[in-house]
Amino acid sequence: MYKEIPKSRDIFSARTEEIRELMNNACFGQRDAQHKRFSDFTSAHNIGKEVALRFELAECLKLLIDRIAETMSVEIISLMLVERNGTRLAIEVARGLSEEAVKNTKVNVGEGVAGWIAKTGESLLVEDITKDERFPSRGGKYYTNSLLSVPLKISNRVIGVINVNNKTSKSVFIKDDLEMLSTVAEMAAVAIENARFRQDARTQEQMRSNFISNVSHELRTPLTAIKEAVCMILEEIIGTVTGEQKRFLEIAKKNIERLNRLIEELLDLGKLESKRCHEKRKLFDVIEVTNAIIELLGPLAKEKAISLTKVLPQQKVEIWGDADRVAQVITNLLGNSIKYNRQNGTIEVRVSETEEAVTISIVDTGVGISPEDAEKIFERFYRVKAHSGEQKHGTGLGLAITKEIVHAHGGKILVESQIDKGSMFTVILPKDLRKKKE
Amino acid sequence: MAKFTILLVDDEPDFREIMTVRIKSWGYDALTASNGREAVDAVKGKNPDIIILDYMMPDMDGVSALREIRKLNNKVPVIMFTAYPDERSIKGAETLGVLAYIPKISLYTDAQAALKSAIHIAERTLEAQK
Repeated sequence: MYKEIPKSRDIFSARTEEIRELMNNACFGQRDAQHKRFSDFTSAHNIGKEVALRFELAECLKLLIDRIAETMSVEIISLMLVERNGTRLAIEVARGLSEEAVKNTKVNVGEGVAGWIAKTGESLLVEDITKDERFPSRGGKYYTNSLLSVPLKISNRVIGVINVNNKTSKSVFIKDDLEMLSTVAEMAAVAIENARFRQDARTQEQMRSNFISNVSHELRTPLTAIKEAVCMILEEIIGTVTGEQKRFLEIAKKNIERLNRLIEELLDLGKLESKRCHEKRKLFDVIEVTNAIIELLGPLAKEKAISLTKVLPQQKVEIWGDADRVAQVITNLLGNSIKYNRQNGTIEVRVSETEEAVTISIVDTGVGISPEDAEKIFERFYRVKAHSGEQKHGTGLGLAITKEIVHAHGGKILVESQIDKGSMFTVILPKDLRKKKE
Repeated sequence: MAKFTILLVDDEPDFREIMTVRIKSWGYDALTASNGREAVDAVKGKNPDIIILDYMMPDMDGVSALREIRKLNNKVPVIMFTAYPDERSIKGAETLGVLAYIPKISLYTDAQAALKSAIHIAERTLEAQK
């Protein structure tokens, strides 16, 4: 490792300028130089563009150093990133260095060549590092002792450093190399930052998903034991129970079930927010799903003598989405229409389509919703104040889940209602989300 | 007909206690194990006829325990009884021969009724093998 911190930037700049001049004059005539610059510039941009297309950080970095090594014909290249706390640099990826060196090389910001670059944000081009007394113990096998290091910068913040050594031609680095590498670094920095953001987002997503699964387990475990104990007493497995004792145990059981429903729905919301439902999307027929739900909930409507009718297209109406989730939407809405309807009321389920979207409406003759409530019913735990009859016990999450699902499918949900007359819930879903994205 | 012995593997002591009474009320003998290691030992030493296995346990998860159990006995019917059935674990256990996956608590099914019918299926399988 480099021992001494270069204190003065002037020395570097002076040397660099000197070398630039020398190299420029020595190597190329003006036309050749221009031609080479143009080709370097094109290569640099091609590398930048290619790297920007890689979404995985590791993949992005590997591709970057491979392309630089090939284009610049260097044997040793390393890419270091500044660690999260901003005090240290570590090699993320390298070529031509031992695995051990890659693993163990950590440099404090401000120390050594890479540390100096991270601190100052300047590039560095040195002709012969062995003759530079500030770097006495430079390890490794190098054909030449010329080195080139550039910062990876996002505006003025250095996120890392690219170091290259040993041109295969055994010549030293020149100003054109510096310019080329700086151009690549400029584009690469943005790509790296983006890849990092995506990686962070994925890590958070993973943590969230693990959290949901842990919470789920931790809540269900005690609830299971409580429910089991209550059920066993109720079933008189461990002895006889009086009528009144049974009544109280039934209350306990009912509330355990309510709590269970609440847990399930909260977890369901968590899953929806973590977008795990996106994995199950495929083309499916909305009409088939709607018919199945009407059939399923028909008996419930019948109990209240509600006339349940449907107005559906004759043909299939296919949409791209999660069939189970869309079924959940229709089940929730139709379930509510039955629950909040009056005896001998009516419900009509309508499905219609345009070229791009499908509209599902459920019209009922239920208790209706006031305009103030209508604005808030999709909020979590919002409860409409019972204006007639008894309070219905829901979890207060059904419509919030419904809205989440509709939004996850790129759709809209609307409600029109009049107190004591009834409500109409309308869901509009785009037929193909994939097209909408492009 | 000899009583079948059911081994219940679960890390929750309360749940083990309750379920032991439940299993006995169904007319079976009950053994319990509180972790994967004890489950493997019980299979070695006591040769249970049916195993009810939880798959989220601190020392050895149910799938790992099942892998060990299968090395000793690849015929014993195993019912996974779990508080959180996630798809990945189910896939992990699929190749190890699981008779049924039953959620400990569910909005849609009566967990105990489902467990009882899984045990009946296991019982019939065992009787057919005799």
